[in-house]
Amino acid sequence: MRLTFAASMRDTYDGIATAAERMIKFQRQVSTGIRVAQPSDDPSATATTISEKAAHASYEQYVQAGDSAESRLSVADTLLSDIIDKLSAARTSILSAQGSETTDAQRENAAQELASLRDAVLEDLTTSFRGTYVFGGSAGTVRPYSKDVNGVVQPYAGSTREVSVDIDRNRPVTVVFNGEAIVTGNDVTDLFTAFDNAIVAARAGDADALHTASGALQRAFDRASQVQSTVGTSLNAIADHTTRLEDAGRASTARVASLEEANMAEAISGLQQAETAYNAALGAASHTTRRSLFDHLLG
Amino acid sequence: MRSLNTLVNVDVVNRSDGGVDITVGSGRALVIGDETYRLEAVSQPPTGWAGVEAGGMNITSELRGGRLVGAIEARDVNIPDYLTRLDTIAYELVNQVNTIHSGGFDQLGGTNQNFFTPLASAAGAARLIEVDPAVAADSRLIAAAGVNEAGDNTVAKTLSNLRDALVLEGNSATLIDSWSHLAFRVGRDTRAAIDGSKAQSDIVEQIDALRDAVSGVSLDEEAVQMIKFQRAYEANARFFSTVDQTLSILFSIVGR
Repeated sequence: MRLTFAASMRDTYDGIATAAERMIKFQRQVSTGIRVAQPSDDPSATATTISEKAAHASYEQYVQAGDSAESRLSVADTLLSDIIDKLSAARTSILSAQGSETTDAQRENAAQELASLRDAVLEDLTTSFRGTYVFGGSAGTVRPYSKDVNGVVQPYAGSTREVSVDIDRNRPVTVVFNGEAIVTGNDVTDLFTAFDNAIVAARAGDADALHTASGALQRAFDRASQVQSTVGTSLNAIADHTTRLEDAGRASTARVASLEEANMAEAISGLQQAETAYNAALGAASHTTRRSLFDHLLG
Repeated sequence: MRSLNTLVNVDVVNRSDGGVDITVGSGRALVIGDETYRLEAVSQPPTGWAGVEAGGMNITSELRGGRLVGAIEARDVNIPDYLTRLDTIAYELVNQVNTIHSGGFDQLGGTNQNFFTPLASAAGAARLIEVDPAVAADSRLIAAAGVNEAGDNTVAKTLSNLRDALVLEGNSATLIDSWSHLAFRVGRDTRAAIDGSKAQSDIVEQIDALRDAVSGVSLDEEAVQMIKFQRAYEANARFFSTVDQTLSILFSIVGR
Protein backbone atom coordinates (compact mmCIF):
# COMPACT_ATOMS: atom_id res chain seq x y z
CA MET A 1 0.00 0.00 0.00
CA ARG A 2 1.30 3.43 -0.90
CA LEU A 3 1.80 5.59 2.16
CA THR A 4 0.99 9.13 1.14
CA PHE A 5 2.08 12.23 2.90
CA ALA A 6 -1.54 13.21 3.69
CA ALA A 7 -2.30 9.80 5.21
CA SER A 8 0.84 9.91 7.24
CA MET A 9 0.01 13.40 8.51
CA ARG A 10 -3.55 12.36 9.32
CA ASP A 11 -2.34 9.35 11.31
CA THR A 12 0.16 11.54 13.10
CA TYR A 13 -2.41 14.12 14.10
CA ASP A 14 -4.84 11.38 15.17
CA GLY A 15 -2.12 9.95 17.36
CA ILE A 16 -1.52 13.33 18.97
CA ALA A 17 -5.26 13.85 19.48
CA THR A 18 -5.70 10.41 21.04
CA ALA A 19 -2.74 10.93 23.38
CA ALA A 20 -4.00 14.40 24.32
CA GLU A 21 -7.50 13.06 24.99
CA ARG A 22 -6.12 10.36 27.24
CA MET A 23 -3.94 12.88 29.05
CA ILE A 24 -6.93 15.21 29.60
CA LYS A 25 -8.95 12.29 30.97
CA PHE A 26 -6.31 11.47 33.56
CA GLN A 27 -5.71 15.16 34.34
CA ARG A 28 -9.41 15.49 35.11
CA GLN A 29 -9.32 12.41 37.33
CA VAL A 30 -6.28 13.69 39.22
CA SER A 31 -7.66 17.22 39.68
CA THR A 32 -11.22 16.21 40.68
CA GLY A 33 -10.64 12.80 42.18
CA ILE A 34 -13.70 11.59 40.26
CA ARG A 35 -13.55 8.77 37.74
CA VAL A 36 -17.22 8.74 36.75
CA ALA A 37 -18.20 12.33 36.03
CA GLN A 38 -21.10 11.48 33.73
CA PRO A 39 -23.17 8.32 33.07
CA SER A 40 -21.39 7.53 29.81
CA ASP A 41 -18.05 7.26 31.67
CA ASP A 42 -19.30 4.00 33.20
CA PRO A 43 -23.05 3.32 32.83
CA SER A 44 -23.01 0.28 35.07
CA ALA A 45 -21.13 2.09 37.83
CA THR A 46 -23.55 5.01 37.53
CA ALA A 47 -26.59 2.77 38.06
CA THR A 48 -24.96 0.96 40.95
CA THR A 49 -23.90 4.25 42.52
CA ILE A 50 -27.47 5.53 42.45
CA SER A 51 -28.71 2.40 44.21
CA GLU A 52 -25.86 2.56 46.72
CA LYS A 53 -26.50 6.22 47.50
CA ALA A 54 -30.20 5.50 48.01
CA ALA A 55 -29.32 2.64 50.34
CA HIS A 56 -26.85 4.88 52.16
CA ALA A 57 -29.51 7.56 52.58
CA SER A 58 -31.85 4.97 54.08
CA TYR A 59 -29.11 3.83 56.49
CA GLU A 60 -28.63 7.42 57.61
CA GLN A 61 -32.35 7.89 57.97
CA TYR A 62 -32.64 4.78 60.13
CA VAL A 63 -29.69 5.89 62.27
CA GLN A 64 -31.34 9.28 62.80
CA ALA A 65 -34.62 7.56 63.68
CA GLY A 66 -32.68 5.34 66.08
CA ASP A 67 -31.04 8.36 67.72
CA SER A 68 -34.37 10.07 68.14
CA ALA A 69 -35.99 6.88 69.45
CA GLU A 70 -33.09 6.33 71.82
CA SER A 71 -33.58 9.77 73.38
CA ARG A 72 -37.28 9.17 73.85
CA LEU A 73 -36.79 5.63 75.16
CA SER A 74 -34.14 6.81 77.60
CA VAL A 75 -36.68 9.24 79.03
CA ALA A 76 -39.30 6.47 79.14
CA ASP A 77 -36.81 4.17 80.83
CA THR A 78 -36.06 6.77 83.49
CA LEU A 79 -39.75 7.44 84.06
CA LEU A 80 -40.55 3.73 84.30
CA SER A 81 -37.72 3.22 86.78
CA ASP A 82 -39.15 6.06 88.80
CA ILE A 83 -42.67 4.62 88.64
CA ILE A 84 -41.39 1.21 89.68
CA ASP A 85 -39.50 2.76 92.60
CA LYS A 86 -42.59 4.68 93.62
CA LEU A 87 -44.75 1.58 93.46
CA SER A 88 -42.25 -0.32 95.60
CA ALA A 89 -42.25 2.53 98.07
CA ALA A 90 -46.04 2.59 98.07
CA ARG A 91 -46.19 -1.10 98.92
CA THR A 92 -43.75 -0.47 101.76
CA SER A 93 -45.97 2.33 103.00
CA ILE A 94 -48.98 0.01 102.85
CA LEU A 95 -47.10 -2.55 104.89
CA SER A 96 -46.17 0.08 107.44
CA ALA A 97 -49.85 0.98 107.80
CA GLN A 98 -50.95 -2.63 108.16
CA GLY A 99 -49.40 -3.49 111.53
CA SER A 100 -51.80 -4.12 114.40
CA GLU A 101 -49.86 -1.80 116.63
CA THR A 102 -49.64 1.19 114.31
CA THR A 103 -50.82 4.44 115.71
CA ASP A 104 -53.21 6.87 114.03
CA ALA A 105 -50.30 9.19 113.40
CA GLN A 106 -48.31 6.45 111.74
CA ARG A 107 -51.26 5.52 109.55
CA GLU A 108 -51.80 9.16 108.64
CA ASN A 109 -48.15 9.43 107.72
CA ALA A 110 -48.51 6.36 105.54
CA ALA A 111 -51.62 7.80 103.93
CA GLN A 112 -49.86 11.06 103.19
CA GLU A 113 -46.87 9.25 101.82
CA LEU A 114 -49.16 7.20 99.56
CA ALA A 115 -50.81 10.41 98.36
CA SER A 116 -47.42 11.86 97.64
CA LEU A 117 -46.35 8.72 95.76
CA ARG A 118 -49.61 8.73 93.78
CA ASP A 119 -48.96 12.31 92.69
CA ALA A 120 -45.38 11.45 91.78
CA VAL A 121 -46.53 8.50 89.66
CA LEU A 122 -49.14 10.78 88.07
CA GLU A 123 -46.41 13.26 87.25
CA ASP A 124 -44.27 10.53 85.67
CA LEU A 125 -47.17 9.28 83.60
CA THR A 126 -47.95 12.74 82.32
CA THR A 127 -44.42 13.68 81.36
CA SER A 128 -44.03 14.96 77.84
CA PHE A 129 -40.93 14.79 75.67
CA ARG A 130 -40.49 17.09 72.71
CA GLY A 131 -44.12 18.08 72.78
CA THR A 132 -45.83 14.73 73.09
CA TYR A 133 -46.72 12.66 76.13
CA VAL A 134 -44.55 9.59 76.64
CA PHE A 135 -47.49 7.53 77.99
CA GLY A 136 -50.31 9.13 76.00
CA GLY A 137 -50.33 6.78 72.99
CA SER A 138 -50.85 8.26 69.57
CA ALA A 139 -53.11 11.00 70.97
CA GLY A 140 -49.80 12.83 71.23
CA THR A 141 -50.65 16.19 72.73
CA VAL A 142 -53.59 15.06 74.86
CA ARG A 143 -52.65 14.82 78.53
CA PRO A 144 -53.25 11.17 79.42
CA TYR A 145 -54.20 11.69 83.06
CA SER A 146 -55.34 14.72 84.97
CA LYS A 147 -57.01 15.49 88.25
CA ASP A 148 -60.44 17.02 88.60
CA VAL A 149 -61.18 19.87 90.96
CA ASN A 150 -61.55 17.40 93.83
CA GLY A 151 -58.10 16.00 93.23
CA VAL A 152 -59.38 12.73 91.77
CA VAL A 153 -57.39 11.38 88.85
CA GLN A 154 -59.66 11.09 85.82
CA PRO A 155 -59.84 8.09 83.47
CA TYR A 156 -57.23 7.72 80.76
CA ALA A 157 -57.65 10.37 78.06
CA GLY A 158 -54.81 9.27 75.80
CA SER A 159 -54.89 6.76 72.97
CA THR A 160 -54.55 3.02 73.28
CA ARG A 161 -52.61 3.02 69.98
CA GLU A 162 -48.89 3.02 70.59
CA VAL A 163 -46.50 4.86 68.29
CA SER A 164 -43.51 3.13 66.79
CA VAL A 165 -40.67 4.17 64.52
CA ASP A 166 -38.57 1.97 62.26
CA ILE A 167 -34.95 1.85 63.37
CA ASP A 168 -34.09 -0.49 60.50
CA ARG A 169 -35.90 -2.21 57.69
CA ASN A 170 -38.84 -4.10 59.25
CA ARG A 171 -37.59 -3.32 62.78
CA PRO A 172 -40.03 -1.03 64.57
CA VAL A 173 -39.63 0.03 68.19
CA THR A 174 -42.38 1.52 70.30
CA VAL A 175 -41.54 5.05 71.40
CA VAL A 176 -44.88 6.31 72.72
CA PHE A 177 -46.71 4.01 75.10
CA ASN A 178 -50.28 3.28 76.02
CA GLY A 179 -50.39 4.60 79.58
CA GLU A 180 -53.62 2.76 80.28
CA ALA A 181 -51.88 -0.58 79.71
CA ILE A 182 -49.62 0.25 82.67
CA VAL A 183 -52.11 2.03 84.90
CA THR A 184 -55.06 -0.32 84.43
CA GLY A 185 -54.04 -3.34 82.40
CA ASN A 186 -56.63 -6.08 82.92
CA ASP A 187 -57.71 -4.75 86.30
CA VAL A 188 -61.21 -3.45 86.88
CA THR A 189 -59.95 -0.24 88.41
CA ASP A 190 -56.85 1.77 87.66
CA LEU A 191 -53.71 2.36 89.69
CA PHE A 192 -54.85 5.74 90.96
CA THR A 193 -58.04 4.25 92.33
CA ALA A 194 -55.89 1.64 94.06
CA PHE A 195 -53.80 4.46 95.55
CA ASP A 196 -56.94 6.28 96.68
CA ASN A 197 -58.34 3.09 98.20
CA ALA A 198 -55.02 2.46 99.95
CA ILE A 199 -55.00 5.99 101.38
CA VAL A 200 -58.53 5.60 102.74
CA ALA A 201 -57.72 2.13 104.07
CA ALA A 202 -54.51 3.36 105.71
CA ARG A 203 -56.37 6.06 107.55
CA ALA A 204 -59.07 3.58 108.56
CA GLY A 205 -56.61 0.83 109.40
CA ASP A 206 -58.52 -1.50 107.08
CA ALA A 207 -56.10 -4.39 106.62
CA ASP A 208 -58.19 -6.17 104.00
CA ALA A 209 -58.52 -3.08 101.85
CA LEU A 210 -54.81 -2.38 102.23
CA HIS A 211 -54.07 -5.93 101.16
CA THR A 212 -56.28 -5.53 98.09
CA ALA A 213 -54.64 -2.20 97.23
CA SER A 214 -51.21 -3.72 97.71
CA GLY A 215 -52.14 -6.43 95.18
CA ALA A 216 -53.26 -3.82 92.68
CA LEU A 217 -49.99 -1.91 93.14
CA GLN A 218 -48.05 -5.15 92.67
CA ARG A 219 -49.82 -5.82 89.39
CA ALA A 220 -49.11 -2.27 88.26
CA PHE A 221 -45.51 -2.81 89.29
CA ASP A 222 -45.38 -5.95 87.11
CA ARG A 223 -46.91 -4.13 84.15
CA ALA A 224 -44.49 -1.23 84.46
CA SER A 225 -41.58 -3.69 84.76
CA GLN A 226 -42.78 -5.49 81.65
CA VAL A 227 -42.91 -2.24 79.68
CA GLN A 228 -39.49 -1.27 81.00
CA SER A 229 -38.16 -4.62 79.85
CA THR A 230 -39.52 -3.85 76.38
CA VAL A 231 -37.85 -0.45 76.52
CA GLY A 232 -34.55 -2.06 77.48
CA THR A 233 -34.84 -4.54 74.64
CA SER A 234 -35.57 -1.68 72.25
CA LEU A 235 -32.60 0.33 73.49
CA ASN A 236 -30.32 -2.67 72.95
CA ALA A 237 -31.83 -3.21 69.51
CA ILE A 238 -31.18 0.44 68.63
CA ALA A 239 -27.54 0.09 69.70
CA ASP A 240 -27.14 -3.12 67.68
CA HIS A 241 -28.90 -1.83 64.61
CA THR A 242 -27.10 1.52 64.74
CA THR A 243 -23.77 -0.30 64.76
CA ARG A 244 -24.90 -2.50 61.87
CA LEU A 245 -26.27 0.48 59.92
CA GLU A 246 -23.11 2.51 60.46
CA ASP A 247 -21.02 -0.44 59.26
CA ALA A 248 -23.31 -0.86 56.28
CA GLY A 249 -23.10 2.89 55.61
CA ARG A 250 -19.30 2.82 55.68
CA ALA A 251 -19.27 -0.20 53.39
CA SER A 252 -21.69 1.55 51.05
CA THR A 253 -19.54 4.69 51.06
CA ALA A 254 -16.51 2.57 50.24
CA ARG A 255 -18.36 0.88 47.38
CA VAL A 256 -19.50 4.23 45.98
CA ALA A 257 -15.95 5.53 46.27
CA SER A 258 -14.57 2.50 44.48
CA LEU A 259 -17.13 2.96 41.71
CA GLU A 260 -17.13 6.71 41.41
CA GLU A 261 -13.81 7.99 42.62
CA ALA A 262 -10.53 7.76 40.83
CA ASN A 263 -7.77 5.55 42.15
CA MET A 264 -5.26 8.37 42.62
CA ALA A 265 -2.17 6.18 42.31
CA GLU A 266 -3.58 4.67 39.16
CA ALA A 267 -4.68 8.06 37.83
CA ILE A 268 -1.26 9.65 38.47
CA SER A 269 0.48 6.71 36.87
CA GLY A 270 -1.94 6.90 33.94
CA LEU A 271 -1.32 10.63 33.64
CA GLN A 272 2.44 10.08 33.50
CA GLN A 273 2.01 7.40 30.87
CA ALA A 274 -0.34 9.60 28.88
CA GLU A 275 2.12 12.52 29.07
CA THR A 276 4.90 10.25 27.82
CA ALA A 277 2.67 9.02 25.00
CA TYR A 278 1.71 12.60 24.14
CA ASN A 279 5.32 13.73 24.02
CA ALA A 280 6.19 10.66 21.96
CA ALA A 281 3.36 11.47 19.56
CA LEU A 282 4.64 15.05 19.22
CA GLY A 283 8.16 13.73 18.61
CA ALA A 284 6.88 11.28 16.02
CA ALA A 285 5.00 14.11 14.34
CA SER A 286 8.12 16.23 14.09
CA HIS A 287 9.93 13.31 12.45
CA THR A 288 7.04 12.47 10.16
CA THR A 289 6.61 16.03 8.97
CA ARG A 290 10.27 16.19 7.98
CA ARG A 291 10.38 15.52 4.27
CA SER A 292 13.26 13.19 4.73
CA LEU A 293 14.08 12.44 1.15
CA PHE A 294 13.66 16.05 0.09
CA ASP A 295 15.70 17.15 3.07
CA HIS A 296 18.34 14.72 2.00
CA LEU A 297 18.23 15.96 -1.60
CA LEU A 298 18.17 19.59 -0.59
CA GLY A 299 20.70 19.06 2.15
CA MET B 1 -19.19 16.39 -0.91
CA ARG B 2 -17.12 15.11 1.97
CA SER B 3 -18.46 17.86 4.26
CA LEU B 4 -21.98 17.28 3.00
CA ASN B 5 -21.73 13.56 3.65
CA THR B 6 -20.62 14.30 7.21
CA LEU B 7 -23.95 16.00 7.75
CA VAL B 8 -26.21 13.56 5.88
CA ASN B 9 -25.81 10.73 3.40
CA VAL B 10 -26.09 12.00 -0.17
CA ASP B 11 -26.23 10.12 -3.45
CA VAL B 12 -23.87 11.18 -6.24
CA VAL B 13 -24.50 10.47 -9.91
CA ASN B 14 -21.66 11.04 -12.38
CA ARG B 15 -22.57 13.06 -15.43
CA SER B 16 -21.23 12.55 -18.90
CA ASP B 17 -19.70 16.01 -18.87
CA GLY B 18 -17.54 15.07 -15.87
CA GLY B 19 -19.69 16.82 -13.32
CA VAL B 20 -21.93 15.19 -10.70
CA ASP B 21 -25.54 15.47 -9.63
CA ILE B 22 -26.22 15.22 -5.92
CA THR B 23 -29.46 14.05 -4.32
CA VAL B 24 -30.55 13.38 -0.77
CA GLY B 25 -33.26 11.17 0.74
CA SER B 26 -35.55 9.63 -1.84
CA GLY B 27 -33.87 11.32 -4.77
CA ARG B 28 -34.45 14.90 -3.60
CA ALA B 29 -32.22 17.16 -5.69
CA LEU B 30 -29.49 19.15 -4.03
CA VAL B 31 -27.30 19.85 -7.04
CA ILE B 32 -28.41 19.12 -10.61
CA GLY B 33 -26.08 20.48 -13.25
CA ASP B 34 -25.37 24.04 -12.29
CA GLU B 35 -28.62 24.37 -10.31
CA THR B 36 -28.64 24.10 -6.50
CA TYR B 37 -31.63 23.40 -4.27
CA ARG B 38 -31.82 24.50 -0.65
CA LEU B 39 -32.70 22.38 2.35
CA GLU B 40 -34.54 24.30 5.05
CA ALA B 41 -35.22 23.73 8.75
CA VAL B 42 -38.91 24.47 9.26
CA SER B 43 -40.89 24.26 12.49
CA GLN B 44 -43.33 21.35 12.28
CA PRO B 45 -46.66 20.99 14.06
CA PRO B 46 -47.70 19.89 16.64
CA THR B 47 -44.37 19.90 18.53
CA GLY B 48 -42.90 22.92 16.81
CA TRP B 49 -39.64 21.05 16.38
CA ALA B 50 -37.69 21.68 13.21
CA GLY B 51 -38.01 19.32 10.27
CA VAL B 52 -35.94 19.28 7.09
CA GLU B 53 -37.83 20.51 4.07
CA ALA B 54 -36.87 20.43 0.39
CA GLY B 55 -39.05 22.43 -1.94
CA GLY B 56 -41.72 22.77 0.76
CA MET B 57 -41.85 18.99 1.35
CA ASN B 58 -40.94 17.54 4.75
CA ILE B 59 -38.21 15.00 3.98
CA THR B 60 -36.97 14.44 7.56
CA SER B 61 -38.01 10.78 7.56
CA GLU B 62 -36.20 10.17 4.26
CA LEU B 63 -32.79 11.25 5.51
CA ARG B 64 -30.17 8.64 6.33
CA GLY B 65 -26.89 8.80 8.22
CA GLY B 66 -24.74 11.76 9.17
CA ARG B 67 -24.67 14.13 12.08
CA LEU B 68 -27.98 15.71 11.14
CA VAL B 69 -29.86 12.41 11.26
CA GLY B 70 -28.04 11.48 14.46
CA ALA B 71 -29.22 14.71 16.08
CA ILE B 72 -32.77 14.21 14.80
CA GLU B 73 -32.83 10.62 16.03
CA ALA B 74 -31.58 11.69 19.46
CA ARG B 75 -34.27 14.36 19.56
CA ASP B 76 -37.13 12.22 18.21
CA VAL B 77 -36.31 8.77 19.59
CA ASN B 78 -33.77 8.69 22.43
CA ILE B 79 -34.67 11.78 24.42
CA PRO B 80 -38.47 11.22 24.18
CA ASP B 81 -37.87 7.67 25.43
CA TYR B 82 -35.89 9.00 28.40
CA LEU B 83 -38.56 11.61 29.07
CA THR B 84 -41.30 9.00 28.94
CA ARG B 85 -39.45 6.86 31.45
CA LEU B 86 -38.78 9.85 33.70
CA ASP B 87 -42.43 10.91 33.41
CA THR B 88 -43.52 7.39 34.36
CA ILE B 89 -41.38 7.52 37.50
CA ALA B 90 -42.73 10.95 38.44
CA TYR B 91 -46.33 9.95 37.68
CA GLU B 92 -46.09 6.79 39.74
CA LEU B 93 -44.48 8.72 42.61
CA VAL B 94 -47.32 11.25 42.55
CA ASN B 95 -50.00 8.56 42.42
CA GLN B 96 -48.48 6.36 45.10
CA VAL B 97 -47.86 9.23 47.51
CA ASN B 98 -51.30 10.72 46.91
CA THR B 99 -53.03 7.37 47.41
CA ILE B 100 -51.33 6.87 50.77
CA HIS B 101 -51.50 10.51 51.84
CA SER B 102 -55.16 11.02 51.01
CA GLY B 103 -56.06 8.09 53.28
CA GLY B 104 -54.36 9.74 56.25
CA PHE B 105 -55.26 12.48 58.70
CA ASP B 106 -53.51 15.82 59.04
CA GLN B 107 -52.87 17.83 62.19
CA LEU B 108 -56.18 19.60 61.80
CA GLY B 109 -58.09 16.33 61.60
CA GLY B 110 -58.69 16.63 57.88
CA THR B 111 -58.37 13.74 55.45
CA ASN B 112 -58.60 13.01 51.71
CA GLN B 113 -55.91 15.60 50.96
CA ASN B 114 -53.46 14.98 48.13
CA PHE B 115 -49.81 15.70 48.81
CA PHE B 116 -49.00 16.39 45.16
CA THR B 117 -51.26 18.10 42.68
CA PRO B 118 -52.90 15.14 40.88
CA LEU B 119 -51.84 14.55 37.29
CA ALA B 120 -54.23 13.47 34.56
CA SER B 121 -51.65 11.34 32.78
CA ALA B 122 -47.97 10.44 32.76
CA ALA B 123 -47.25 12.79 29.86
CA GLY B 124 -45.07 15.63 31.15
CA ALA B 125 -45.34 14.41 34.76
CA ALA B 126 -41.69 15.13 35.56
CA ARG B 127 -42.18 18.72 34.41
CA LEU B 128 -45.55 19.18 36.09
CA ILE B 129 -44.93 17.52 39.47
CA GLU B 130 -45.56 19.93 42.34
CA VAL B 131 -46.64 19.85 45.95
CA ASP B 132 -50.33 20.60 46.29
CA PRO B 133 -50.63 24.38 46.77
CA ALA B 134 -52.75 23.96 49.92
CA VAL B 135 -50.13 21.69 51.50
CA ALA B 136 -47.32 23.96 50.37
CA ALA B 137 -49.06 26.89 52.04
CA ASP B 138 -49.88 25.09 55.29
CA SER B 139 -47.65 22.23 56.43
CA ARG B 140 -50.26 21.22 59.00
CA LEU B 141 -52.16 19.66 56.09
CA ILE B 142 -49.50 16.99 55.72
CA ALA B 143 -51.28 13.78 56.70
CA ALA B 144 -48.88 11.69 58.74
CA ALA B 145 -51.48 9.87 60.83
CA GLY B 146 -53.49 6.80 59.89
CA VAL B 147 -56.16 7.72 62.42
CA ASN B 148 -57.38 11.09 63.60
CA GLU B 149 -54.84 11.35 66.40
CA ALA B 150 -52.13 13.96 66.38
CA GLY B 151 -49.31 11.68 67.45
CA ASP B 152 -49.92 8.83 65.04
CA ASN B 153 -47.30 8.28 62.34
CA THR B 154 -48.71 5.32 60.42
CA VAL B 155 -49.04 7.16 57.11
CA ALA B 156 -45.61 8.74 57.47
CA LYS B 157 -44.13 5.26 57.91
CA THR B 158 -46.09 3.90 54.97
CA LEU B 159 -44.80 6.77 52.82
CA SER B 160 -41.28 6.04 54.01
CA ASN B 161 -41.68 2.36 53.11
CA LEU B 162 -42.67 3.41 49.58
CA ARG B 163 -38.94 3.56 48.99
CA ASP B 164 -38.82 -0.25 48.94
CA ALA B 165 -42.14 -0.80 47.20
CA LEU B 166 -42.10 -2.51 43.79
CA VAL B 167 -44.38 -0.15 41.93
CA LEU B 168 -42.76 0.22 38.51
CA GLU B 169 -41.80 -1.86 35.49
CA GLY B 170 -44.60 -4.35 36.01
CA ASN B 171 -44.28 -4.25 39.80
CA SER B 172 -40.70 -5.48 39.60
CA ALA B 173 -38.81 -2.28 40.39
CA THR B 174 -38.77 0.43 43.02
CA LEU B 175 -38.70 4.13 42.17
CA ILE B 176 -34.96 4.17 42.82
CA ASP B 177 -34.45 1.04 40.68
CA SER B 178 -36.26 2.70 37.81
CA TRP B 179 -34.23 5.87 38.19
CA SER B 180 -30.96 3.94 38.18
CA HIS B 181 -32.15 1.94 35.14
CA LEU B 182 -32.84 5.22 33.34
CA ALA B 183 -29.40 6.61 34.25
CA PHE B 184 -27.83 3.36 33.01
CA ARG B 185 -29.78 3.56 29.76
CA VAL B 186 -28.70 7.16 29.13
CA GLY B 187 -25.08 6.31 29.92
CA ARG B 188 -25.15 3.14 27.82
CA ASP B 189 -26.69 4.89 24.80
CA THR B 190 -24.22 7.76 25.07
CA ARG B 191 -21.32 5.34 25.40
CA ALA B 192 -22.60 3.34 22.40
CA ALA B 193 -22.90 6.55 20.37
CA ILE B 194 -19.35 7.60 21.31
CA ASP B 195 -17.96 4.15 20.52
CA GLY B 196 -19.99 3.95 17.30
CA SER B 197 -18.74 7.38 16.25
CA LYS B 198 -15.17 6.33 16.98
CA ALA B 199 -15.61 3.11 14.99
CA GLN B 200 -17.11 5.02 12.08
CA SER B 201 -14.25 7.55 12.22
CA ASP B 202 -11.76 4.69 12.08
CA ILE B 203 -13.55 3.24 9.06
CA VAL B 204 -13.58 6.63 7.36
CA GLU B 205 -9.88 7.04 8.08
CA GLN B 206 -9.18 3.64 6.62
CA ILE B 207 -11.19 4.45 3.51
CA ASP B 208 -9.41 7.81 3.22
CA ALA B 209 -6.09 6.00 3.46
CA LEU B 210 -7.14 3.55 0.74
CA ARG B 211 -8.30 6.39 -1.46
CA ASP B 212 -5.11 8.33 -0.84
CA ALA B 213 -3.11 5.20 -1.68
CA VAL B 214 -4.64 5.39 -5.13
CA SER B 215 -5.05 9.08 -5.73
CA GLY B 216 -2.85 10.77 -3.16
CA VAL B 217 0.64 12.05 -3.52
CA SER B 218 3.47 10.24 -1.81
CA LEU B 219 6.30 12.71 -1.49
CA ASP B 220 8.84 9.93 -1.14
CA GLU B 221 7.52 8.22 -4.22
CA GLU B 222 7.52 11.52 -6.13
CA ALA B 223 11.08 12.19 -4.96
CA VAL B 224 12.20 8.78 -6.15
CA GLN B 225 10.50 9.39 -9.48
CA MET B 226 12.13 12.81 -9.67
CA ILE B 227 15.56 11.34 -8.98
CA LYS B 228 14.88 8.66 -11.56
CA PHE B 229 13.86 11.20 -14.18
CA GLN B 230 16.71 13.49 -13.19
CA ARG B 231 19.17 10.65 -13.61
CA ALA B 232 17.59 9.80 -16.99
CA TYR B 233 17.83 13.41 -17.98
CA GLU B 234 21.45 13.54 -16.86
CA ALA B 235 22.18 10.32 -18.78
CA ASN B 236 20.56 11.74 -21.90
CA ALA B 237 22.39 15.00 -21.48
CA ARG B 238 25.62 13.16 -21.06
CA PHE B 239 24.88 11.07 -24.15
CA PHE B 240 24.21 14.14 -26.21
CA SER B 241 27.20 15.86 -24.71
CA THR B 242 29.37 12.88 -25.58
CA VAL B 243 27.95 12.74 -29.11
CA ASP B 244 28.49 16.45 -29.44
CA GLN B 245 31.98 16.15 -28.13
CA THR B 246 32.72 13.22 -30.48
CA LEU B 247 31.36 15.11 -33.46
CA SER B 248 33.41 18.16 -32.54
CA ILE B 249 36.54 16.08 -32.41
CA LEU B 250 35.68 14.40 -35.70
CA PHE B 251 34.97 17.72 -37.34
CA SER B 252 38.21 19.15 -36.09
CA ILE B 253 40.11 16.15 -37.46
CA VAL B 254 38.32 16.33 -40.83
CA GLY B 255 38.83 20.12 -40.96
CA ARG B 256 42.59 19.86 -40.68
